[in-house]
Amino acid sequence: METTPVVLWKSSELVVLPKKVSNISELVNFGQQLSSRDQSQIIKAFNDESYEMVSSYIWTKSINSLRNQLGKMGISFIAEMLDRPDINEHTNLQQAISEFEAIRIAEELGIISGTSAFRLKKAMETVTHFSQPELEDDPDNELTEEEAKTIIRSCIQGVLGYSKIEAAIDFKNFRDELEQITFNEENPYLFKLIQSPYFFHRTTIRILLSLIKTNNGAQLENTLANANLIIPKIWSGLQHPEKYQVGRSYSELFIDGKTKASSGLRQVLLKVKGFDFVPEDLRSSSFIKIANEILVAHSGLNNFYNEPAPVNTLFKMGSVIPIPAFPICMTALISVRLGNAWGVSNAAQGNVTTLLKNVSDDRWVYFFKECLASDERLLYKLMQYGPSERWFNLFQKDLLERISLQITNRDVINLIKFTIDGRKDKLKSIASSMYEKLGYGNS
Amino acid sequence: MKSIKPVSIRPLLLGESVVFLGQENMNCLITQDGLVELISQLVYYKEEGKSLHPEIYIFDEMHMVQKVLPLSQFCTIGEGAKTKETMLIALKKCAPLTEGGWAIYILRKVDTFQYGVFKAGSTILSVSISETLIDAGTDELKAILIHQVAERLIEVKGVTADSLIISFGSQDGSRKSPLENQEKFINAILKDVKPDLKEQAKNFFKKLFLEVLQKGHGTLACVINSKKKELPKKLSDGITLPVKIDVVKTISDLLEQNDLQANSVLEGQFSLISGMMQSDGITVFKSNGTVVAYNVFVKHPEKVLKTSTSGGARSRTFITISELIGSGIEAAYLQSQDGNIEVN
Repeated sequence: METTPVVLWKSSELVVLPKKVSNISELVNFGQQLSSRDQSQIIKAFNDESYEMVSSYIWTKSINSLRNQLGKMGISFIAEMLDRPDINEHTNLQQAISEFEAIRIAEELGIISGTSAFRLKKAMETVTHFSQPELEDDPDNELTEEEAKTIIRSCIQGVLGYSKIEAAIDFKNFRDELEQITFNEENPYLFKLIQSPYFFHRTTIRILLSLIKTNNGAQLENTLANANLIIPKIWSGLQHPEKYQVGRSYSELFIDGKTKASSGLRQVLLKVKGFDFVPEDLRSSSFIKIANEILVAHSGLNNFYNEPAPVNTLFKMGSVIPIPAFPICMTALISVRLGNAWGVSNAAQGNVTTLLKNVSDDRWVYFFKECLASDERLLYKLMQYGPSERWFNLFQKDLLERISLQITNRDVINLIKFTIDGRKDKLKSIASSMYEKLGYGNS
Repeated sequence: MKSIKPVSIRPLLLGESVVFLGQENMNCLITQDGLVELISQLVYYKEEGKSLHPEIYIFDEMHMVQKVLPLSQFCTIGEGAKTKETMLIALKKCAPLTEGGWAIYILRKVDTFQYGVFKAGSTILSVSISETLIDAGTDELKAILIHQVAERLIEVKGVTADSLIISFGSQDGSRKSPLENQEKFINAILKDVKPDLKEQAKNFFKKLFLEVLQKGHGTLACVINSKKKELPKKLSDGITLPVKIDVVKTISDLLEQNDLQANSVLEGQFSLISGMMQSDGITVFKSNGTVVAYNVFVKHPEKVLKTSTSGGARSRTFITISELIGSGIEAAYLQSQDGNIEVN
């Protein structure tokens, strides 16, 4: 008998688009966020076979709608959710967060379902690919009618088909209660949280940190009390990037003079013996900022042209990456190295390869042990044709053999084994399974 | 023949030190002796004729202290036998290094005392060492702070033990640290500051008022409502700043920009206001954290002139501005040279 996994919150997205609708006029008619003028322009452009134009238009409309919705939840909250210390109240969210990040948070907060997130990521890759200027001259590289229709369908099904998109009710209630009441051991949310997949743990940590940084008075006291109850319960299962986020938050609160908040978080760190995750200096923040710039370029339009500049900046910052910034820098470098389904940025490969060659054995062990299992971005890449092929060229066999002896996570051991053996299908399958275990891709 | 009766406060201090260390779970025969010596030394501590007001921390675990104090810098100066003499050497060698936010540490090892100086944080806004290790300290990380809070007034604080306020002056022993009255006045200065900037502003003013207190110059200050566009007439005899010093705005800039320029502006305001408070007359704050005037003098009304007060002109001025509370003034502050602080 199949068991339904316990989750803390879930998208309440209803099916708005019947499976059989395929006529473009009927399809567009389901787009509640599209005005009649938008609808008629889309239909006209589609019938004129301007598939790239119509796909870009509807895609931009959808992603902007998602970003707007995220913006309403507060920039500091979104910054924390993305673990992006470079985003502040003056940041233009539409420009600062990548499409991939917008889809990821929307899925994490239950704004869209896992299936919709999956479809939107596919649509994003297709639109990004066909936006490359060098493809324009070759008629073979034009977007087909079917591809355009799939993009339109994904956008309406995931975003534009709803008059209003918002976070899951349970998520909102949970977030409110974290600041409004003090949980006790019997709180049902606590029970659910402990059994929920990893991304709920990560999201909970990020909600707590965001509330601790922005709240005052009684709300801050409630949040700190809840952080002292919740974080110790999930700490041992957290991967290092999340632990560093807690440590970095303590450091920021201390430096910014937030006495009460830093004192509360200090209690948490004392309880979990987590002071090794407090950065010793501010150097790591500069590396994190650049790594995020690489990732924004990587998942944006014209990525092959935009990746080399931030990669070059990271290259010039020195070969030894501070450990608190190491996970995000590895995500960025490997993302560029693996590219997307359509290829890689050739101009960025030289510096990326040099930087990855400089990663010591110990750091690779650290990457496989403490980072990869919760890195949804890289796991998603390993599920794709193209990036997963390039993954095999990333490592020397003897390096992986040395590393695997020091890993205990069964999934990671298998992933390394399939890499050594060159088993492409098995690699995709284990990556997919790890991705779902994190809590992603489940509708 | 007349005999000589020696009077020493040492036995009293020693007794209190033993109780204090016991409550703090940091019992140690050598530390209790050393504590008494340090307290006595700090009363009039001078090097090359210059008064110094170092904070001395005693703890047992260096690694954890380094971890809980982000961006901390430690400079070890020496290490010696576990004796009270080593504690005094630590004070002598390190005290001249404690300008600019540095404090002295004495690390109790198994057989030795290691000593040096340390600081934490990156700006004036950062949470202070005493707030982190002592006021919001925890049992897991024991620490003791010994410092001079005003002339002839020494405070010894721990995480769990009752604090000791040791007065070497003629004033009656107070049950309160003068810093408590100071905090009350600072709260009046920050009454109308937005909640999200209040803590940072409080850190700034606490450090500022502590500096003025330790410099040993008496000072007078008052707070007027932030909505008042002009100074009350009774406070018009002084230097009214054409452009008020908006500390909270600078703090907000620093938090947003997080750059050296914003930090330098804030540090500049710190020394400027400190200088104003050490000038004669009253420094006038608004209840939104701004400074609007200093070197302000008020006329003492007949009633006040006839009042019998043990203090001098400063005390009479304090009485005068206290009388104005409710009619233009919201709080009044007096710090006498001997460290006595009164707030109305």
